[in-house]
Amino acid sequence: MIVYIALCDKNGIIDRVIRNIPIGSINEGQNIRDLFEDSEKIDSLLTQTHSYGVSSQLRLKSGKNSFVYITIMTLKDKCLVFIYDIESPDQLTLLTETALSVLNVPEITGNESYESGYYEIQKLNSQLINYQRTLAKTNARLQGLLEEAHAAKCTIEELERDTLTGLYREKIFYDKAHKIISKYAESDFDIIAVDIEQFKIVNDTFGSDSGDRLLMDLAVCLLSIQSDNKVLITRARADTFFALIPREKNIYNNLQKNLNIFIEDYPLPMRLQIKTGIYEITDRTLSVARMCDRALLAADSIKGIFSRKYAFYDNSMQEKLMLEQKIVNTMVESLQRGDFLVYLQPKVDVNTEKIIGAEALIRWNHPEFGMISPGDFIPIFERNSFIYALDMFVWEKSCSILGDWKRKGLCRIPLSVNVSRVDLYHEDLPDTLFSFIQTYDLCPHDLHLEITESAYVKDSVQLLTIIKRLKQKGFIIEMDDFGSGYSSLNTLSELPIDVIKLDLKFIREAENKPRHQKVMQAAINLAKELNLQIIAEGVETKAQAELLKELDCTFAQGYLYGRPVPESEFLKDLKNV
Amino acid sequence: MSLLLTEQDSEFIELTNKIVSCQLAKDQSLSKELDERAMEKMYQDTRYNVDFLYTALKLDDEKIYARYARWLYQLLTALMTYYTRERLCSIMVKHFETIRSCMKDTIGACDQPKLHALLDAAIDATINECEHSSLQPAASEKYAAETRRYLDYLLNANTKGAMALITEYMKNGIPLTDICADIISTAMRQVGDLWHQHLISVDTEHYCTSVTQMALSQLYPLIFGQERKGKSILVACVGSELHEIGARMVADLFEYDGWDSIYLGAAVPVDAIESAIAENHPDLTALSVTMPQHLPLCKDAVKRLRELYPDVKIAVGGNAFSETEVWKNWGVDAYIPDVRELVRWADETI
Repeated sequence: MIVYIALCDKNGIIDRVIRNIPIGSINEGQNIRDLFEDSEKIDSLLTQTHSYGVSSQLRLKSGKNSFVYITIMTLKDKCLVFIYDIESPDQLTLLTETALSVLNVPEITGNESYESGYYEIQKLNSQLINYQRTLAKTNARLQGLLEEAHAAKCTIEELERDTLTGLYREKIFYDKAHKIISKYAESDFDIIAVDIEQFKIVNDTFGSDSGDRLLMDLAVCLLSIQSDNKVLITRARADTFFALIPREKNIYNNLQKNLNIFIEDYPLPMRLQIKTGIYEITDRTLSVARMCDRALLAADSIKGIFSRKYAFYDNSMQEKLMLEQKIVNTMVESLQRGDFLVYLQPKVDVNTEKIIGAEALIRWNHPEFGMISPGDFIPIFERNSFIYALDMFVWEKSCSILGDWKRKGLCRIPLSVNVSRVDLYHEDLPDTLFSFIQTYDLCPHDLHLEITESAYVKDSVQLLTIIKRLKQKGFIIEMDDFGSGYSSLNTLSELPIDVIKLDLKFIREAENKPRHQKVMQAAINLAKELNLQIIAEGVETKAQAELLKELDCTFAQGYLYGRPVPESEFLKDLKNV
Repeated sequence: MSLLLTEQDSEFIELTNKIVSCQLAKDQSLSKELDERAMEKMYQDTRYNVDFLYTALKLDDEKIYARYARWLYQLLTALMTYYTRERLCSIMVKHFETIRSCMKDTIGACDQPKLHALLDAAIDATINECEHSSLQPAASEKYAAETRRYLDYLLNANTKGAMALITEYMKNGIPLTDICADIISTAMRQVGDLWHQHLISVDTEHYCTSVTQMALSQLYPLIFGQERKGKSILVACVGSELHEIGARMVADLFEYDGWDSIYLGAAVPVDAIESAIAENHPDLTALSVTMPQHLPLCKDAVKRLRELYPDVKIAVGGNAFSETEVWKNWGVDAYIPDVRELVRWADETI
């Protein structure tokens, strides 16, 4: 392709070369006419005025002896000369573009002369490139910052997550939940607490890998409730999960369904119990942490109750908790001050109604709440281990009573005391009890130890060993609450026991139901066969007493024969009998 | 007489007029052979020649003036095709002698030996150039074919093609540093040579520069996207220097190496360089000079920066430094012609 554009005068002297796609070295000051063979033709083109241009085809002097097109247009006193040729039609566009580029030349468009503006244009062009460069640099920097921010966000997200389950960490959950609750002021939300009962056993028995796996799997199961971005889940403590969920119909049914399936299919040879507590957020001024406490309180309220999988929080739970806290706060002081009292309840021969022994029972005369039922404080003390201190108090008090009776020759009946399952974990228990016996100059069989049935079942070898040691020391062992748990009759013969105390439910159910009576009869017969004494608890009516006689159960305890009373009253009753 | 004459200076104009009239008086045929336009050009050239002579005097470097004489001879042979090489040589030799005779009275005694040495060198170079042309055929370098292709696109005014070619080279795996330092640099030098040999017009040269700047700007995302090294370089063209592609390329290749660049661009006054250093505390300052006339200013700039910031590393570079070693007693830390070597040096030293 050839495109040569130049401005020249009427004589052909080139004033300015605008484009030169290569035709050779023909430059300013030279004559355009020198390019062509036919000087006459080019002369005539140059000398005439062609306001709209005139074209021709001329043979070039130099080079390939070829023809080129020439178009000349007159501009005032100058000529604009186009010399051009193309090899193929697709060069046409480039040719046109190049031709049109002369419009940018000020001398042609009549603007200021090119020379003066040349450096300005160059400067401007460079400046534009420098702007572009600065922009590109800034962009790259922004991109870098963006990536850094993204990385930082990822790190933050990672830090926000519990490494085991990938759920939010507790603190992050609190923050995010608070934001969501505040943001959606019109929506109702619940906080749920999900807790695996006896999770420690999983870790102890199957190893912490299994425990971790269980937590991860449970996390996945819980994520099934994550229906939208308003649902947040955290693993707050070892085996406690909290979730914030917008209140919805059926959500708990679905959750429960999922949890049931989860438990049913879970590949661990252990019956998992998962409790869900729900706090329906009513008081939005509470901190999320407090809301979670409430949900957990609801979950805790059904711990150990097999049939209940979930519970809603209500204010009584909170009150109960407050009460518990007060109990805990005052227990040590109370024990020192002597607020705890030992009451005695008689055990009788049903046929003669003669007192054959008594059970020492604890009572708490609280300076603030008055008399508190053992049912309210014993479980708390069992949880916080204060029970051992309290039981020791009862044991020593009972021994002191027995010693007193012995010295004064008042009576020679044995007293039975409760030994909590928790007490059995104290290795020194047999020695402690024996030291009381010695202190008050008693025989071990003067003191009967009532150990609840569940102790024999739940905790295996270790507890049985302790009970055996107690029996070896000569203490009489009574199995308390027989029938309330799951003790198996065929292992009864192997247990280190002397007495069976039939749970009070037994007699209540047997009263009007012949089938239950049959079961009770069988139990009584079995005990006798095994040479075990049997005492029925909770006898309240004459009819029940009659039934016992009928079933040939010799001994009983219950309101019918006497309520738990202070020692002085007990002695009075004893005299009256 | 002051060495700080400027083109606007009346003494300077007087001197130029004197030289031109002397030359015309000595060589009567010139007036007949040269038309009005050529006469005007001759006057301009004389001004330029004297100006450059002062530059060389100031720098006290014969090589620069010899090189300039060679360059001028090549330019005029391409431009004044109606003269034979020998005739042009004789005109130029006469011209330098005329300058000598006109200037020896106006210049101080201590500069006299320098003046003669410079003019002798220029005359030798001109005669030598006439006898053995030093014009190199297109460099047969590493990327000769790629450079040729790029140059062809430029000379055919194929903007899109030229721009696409650079990205194509990138895709083909040619290192970005080679594209800049070998292909583009060589192509642009050849564009300058073509203009010098009057094979292309000045606006074609300008077009080539613009397109090349655009083509290089396509590489910016890559250039700026490298991991940062926490080091910075300040790059500027000294004085009224307008040729900035080379300087920008230095800044770009440092960026590509992970440095941050403070690029001040063309024609930066020394004051501006000073304040930019104060503001940015660069680890390295690179000053670029393309046209040798700006070398004295560069020398001054280096001196001032050295006084103000004794710790700052200074590198100089650009076409003006080729074939001269004036920089050697300026107290610069580096003059390294190949930008890749400069980057390597900076990485190792700073």
